Amino acid sequence: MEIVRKIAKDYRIPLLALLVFVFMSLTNPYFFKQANLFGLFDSMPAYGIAAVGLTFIMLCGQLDISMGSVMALSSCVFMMTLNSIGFIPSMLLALAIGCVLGAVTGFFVAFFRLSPFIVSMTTQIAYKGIALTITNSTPVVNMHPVLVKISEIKVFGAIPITFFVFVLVALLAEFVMTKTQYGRNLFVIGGNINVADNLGLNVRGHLWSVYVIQGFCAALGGIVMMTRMFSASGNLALDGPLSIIPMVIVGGTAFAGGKGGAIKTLFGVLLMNIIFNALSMFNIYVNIQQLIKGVILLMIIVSDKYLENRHNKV
Amino acid sequence: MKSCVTHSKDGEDMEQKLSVKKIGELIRDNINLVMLIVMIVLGAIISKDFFTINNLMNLLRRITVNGVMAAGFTLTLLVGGFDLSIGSTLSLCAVLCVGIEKSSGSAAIGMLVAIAAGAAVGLLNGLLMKLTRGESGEAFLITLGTSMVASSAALTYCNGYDIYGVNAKWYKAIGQGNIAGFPIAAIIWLGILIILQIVIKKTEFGRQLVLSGANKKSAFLAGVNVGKMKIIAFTLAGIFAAIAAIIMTARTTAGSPRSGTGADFDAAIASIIGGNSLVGGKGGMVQVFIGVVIYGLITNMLNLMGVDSVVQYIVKGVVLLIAICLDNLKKR
Amino acid sequence: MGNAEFFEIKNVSKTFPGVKALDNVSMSVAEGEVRALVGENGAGKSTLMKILNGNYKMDSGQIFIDGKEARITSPVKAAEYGISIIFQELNLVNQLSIAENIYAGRLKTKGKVVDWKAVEADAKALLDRIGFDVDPRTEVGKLSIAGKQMVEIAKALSYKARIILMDEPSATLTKAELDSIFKIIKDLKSKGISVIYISHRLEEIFTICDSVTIMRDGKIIDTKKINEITRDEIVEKMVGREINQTFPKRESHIGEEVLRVTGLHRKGSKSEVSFSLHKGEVLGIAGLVGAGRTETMRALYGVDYVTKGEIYVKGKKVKINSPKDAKKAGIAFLTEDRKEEGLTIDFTVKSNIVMANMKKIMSGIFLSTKKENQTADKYIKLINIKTPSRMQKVLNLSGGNQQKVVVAKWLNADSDIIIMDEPTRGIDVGAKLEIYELINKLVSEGKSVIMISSELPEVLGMSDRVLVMKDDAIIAELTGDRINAVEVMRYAL
Repeated sequence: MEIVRKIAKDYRIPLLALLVFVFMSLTNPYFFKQANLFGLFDSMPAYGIAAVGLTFIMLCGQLDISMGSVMALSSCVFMMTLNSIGFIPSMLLALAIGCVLGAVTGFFVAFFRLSPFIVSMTTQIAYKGIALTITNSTPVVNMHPVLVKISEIKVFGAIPITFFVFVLVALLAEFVMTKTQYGRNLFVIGGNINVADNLGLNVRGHLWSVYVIQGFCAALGGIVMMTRMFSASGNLALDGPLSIIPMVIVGGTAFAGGKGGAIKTLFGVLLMNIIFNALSMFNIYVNIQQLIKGVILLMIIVSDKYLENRHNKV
Repeated sequence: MKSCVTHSKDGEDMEQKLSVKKIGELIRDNINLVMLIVMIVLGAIISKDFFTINNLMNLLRRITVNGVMAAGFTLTLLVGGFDLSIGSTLSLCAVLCVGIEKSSGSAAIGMLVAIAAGAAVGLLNGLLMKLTRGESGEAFLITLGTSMVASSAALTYCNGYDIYGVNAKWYKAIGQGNIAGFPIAAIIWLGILIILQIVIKKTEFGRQLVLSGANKKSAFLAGVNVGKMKIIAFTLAGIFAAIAAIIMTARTTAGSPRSGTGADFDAAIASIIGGNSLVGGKGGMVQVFIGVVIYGLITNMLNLMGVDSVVQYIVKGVVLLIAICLDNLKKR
Repeated sequence: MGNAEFFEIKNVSKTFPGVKALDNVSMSVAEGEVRALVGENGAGKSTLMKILNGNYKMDSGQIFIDGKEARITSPVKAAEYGISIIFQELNLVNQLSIAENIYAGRLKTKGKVVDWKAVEADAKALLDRIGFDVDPRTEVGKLSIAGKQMVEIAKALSYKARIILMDEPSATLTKAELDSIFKIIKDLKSKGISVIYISHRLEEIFTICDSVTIMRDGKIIDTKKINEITRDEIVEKMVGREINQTFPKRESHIGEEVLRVTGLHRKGSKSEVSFSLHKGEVLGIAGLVGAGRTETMRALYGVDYVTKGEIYVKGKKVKINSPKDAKKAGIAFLTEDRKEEGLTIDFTVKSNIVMANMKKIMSGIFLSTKKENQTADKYIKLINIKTPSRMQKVLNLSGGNQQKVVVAKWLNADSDIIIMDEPTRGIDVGAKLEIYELINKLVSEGKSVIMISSELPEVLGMSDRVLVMKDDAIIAELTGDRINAVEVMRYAL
């Protein structure tokens, strides 16, 4: 009985994802079709990788809403330089830019102690502006052969290669989070900053670093997105924060920090995407899907904060 | 200066240093006004058309929607929150106002429904803020969530398409008409600012609102119903977003479910560069006026200089970052 | 017991603005000795602890371990020197496992990879050493307070601590839990580790400690072997200052009952309270920090959630769900946390004074600036608030004047029942006297005052009646001659 309870508690998100998956496969003839499954797995990696990056930030009890614009800007650079400097160099350039963008946001959060919401809201606007400027507000379309090639690789006929990139990133992040001193320090900082101070940890440095990691992940997510869209623009991933934050929280990473993990986020991404895929099966319009996303976000925040603060009257 | 007089030999020197410091402080405390003056001077230098009635009235007309939005936003800032949902609320109210005028044939009904919808979104924000005992962090996420709900409602109502056509003459006049050469919309905006400023500074309610944002614990202990203040402030922010939507649709004679995209940021930037503080309890409608004009001038000037509208995003971001840092500096 | 002067503090002093927190403190502890450190609230124990932990820098003095000087500049340094401090607010991360909490920031690695097996095995060994039978992978948040304290002890051992300071470990423990902590202390002792045990509970000290050091007003008063001193002697030395403060005289005219509280139970409280208050009376509430004094008054005033109980004001039953209700019922509350809760610190003197009663400065539906200014000026003059102007930010005033602003705010509210929580904390002697005079004036006008204070002389000198609280309950009511230090301490400890 104990073991059942433990499984139910520790694995409820993957179990729930599996449940919805099985239910949909049984009830809807179109769900388990190859095309739909491919669509499902193809829709995950871009935001999924960014969600893994956000997990680092949330472990420290911080937040970021600029990842959508980082994805947009870095993928614009990627698509624009692809033909002139080649696939690998332009990918490295885009990733480096992602790191810099994350570092700028993180700098103000870590060293000026400004609210992460305001700072990332600001950088979100600015990065979007830069992306729109360098692209002249027109989408950058590029059917580069390597991109096309990547988009055509399918494992088991239904899983795109980018999904494995996502899984790999999540595994790597999980390794850093659970098996390195650096990763564990993040938990201490997010869990109880006084303990971190007493241990003499470099709190500012750690806070800054997670924003750099997030920038890197967002850029990688942006590049991955290009393998199915072949088109970048300054308005890419506008709903980034709205979609990504719920995935991380549903996965089990706490708002307050100190609790969570990349594998948890992986399952959060899986669950949310299966649900949205299922909703589209039931002919639920995109508009209503957005409503559902909003309500999920609200339910998570309100229940979380209510439980945390209910002992105080104000 | 009496208190600064010393009897030492350097007394005079000290006094002078102190007055330089005082002037420094004065500038720091009124940095937003200084910015406004600098902007106006810059504007005059850059373009000889700047000080024409035409340009000024145009400017006024253009900043009104943001001005009304910023007034509502500032109320949520004062109560210690932050409202990111007013942009989506603006979209929702815009499509409702135009759409319902079309379907019912009555502009008044359209406007009432729009205002009711704005109030509803704001009320939801306020209730959730009360429930979570939230401050600006919670407000961010809550209003992010409600903004999705509102924009989804907007998109659903109009199926994602813009709705064209405003019929009632008096409706159009709100956005396009003039009284004695002065835009009606601007009169409405300034009226709102004046009324709100009086409410904030001269009524018990206003004082309680500001106290709730400045220190909710001390306000609560002094008998203020902090939760109620949050509900009222956020509801008013929703209502002002609806009024902004009415003015905007009256000018453009169309309602778009995307018209509010970024409008929340614009309102936030204007409010903050005007000198309203992020920590709550500090500021008012004078600051809103200054901020909205500065922001309008920046946009106006960039337009006059022929700067691409997307480059303006970058400028906006940098301006906001500077404003936040200045706000942080003032706290010290 | 080994080296008699293994740990030595020499002439340590520390001054905070207006307060001499530590005045030339010297003490030494032998290897394997369990030393009790006792003293009233504010005697300087926590300042000493924070200096030993590297949180505060001492103004002068030295600390020696094994004859070598230890320069403690940070908590990390303190740990290196073998000093571990277990604070009441435990220094743990609830979300993480026991093992990780013990080794946080210095996990054993193989290559660059954390060797969890080794970390957990090491933690298990430490836990076994103190006889705490628990899986080291257990989340710390799931442990009881006693369990958490044991984790702190294990953590101290992991740093090879040679001296462990424990700050009131017993305050929140049950008898059984305390016994297991005592067992561990005995065990530490046998291993040559010294313990400084800070506690208000004298029974415990006689059970577990070898010797006792008594502090008062930032000074060491005495150090004795535990079998050379009696409980009453300790109490006497703790409170036995010459009463150098004089309290202004007052003739009490105590009238009818104005407040009756019956069976009031605060959410999470261990006990219910009942008491009453009379017109023209100063009711003192004595007790140790954590005895539930502040919490009880906050519950009465509607700040915290109340589960049951009845409140009668002037014979009429009132329902108090919020401070607003309490204010309406004629109750005022001066919180102990002046800066966080009592004042809106970066607002002006004027707006703070009028904030609890804006009805008074209305003219029609608007606030009248003229009336507001008059009200502010009236109180600035009446209770002598030293401020350059009514427009000064409260932030820039001294502690005493800030407190006077709080007092002015509640005077302006015209309440008949005034609860004051630590009204003279952190303010200078002159301002204290003014507050006392003000209290006398209030009761002479027929108002009633409830005063919570950790300064015993103040409670004794000002009160017509004293309630002593312990463990959330009122355990004694003292009147007349029984209002003296020894009586109060007998119940409070």
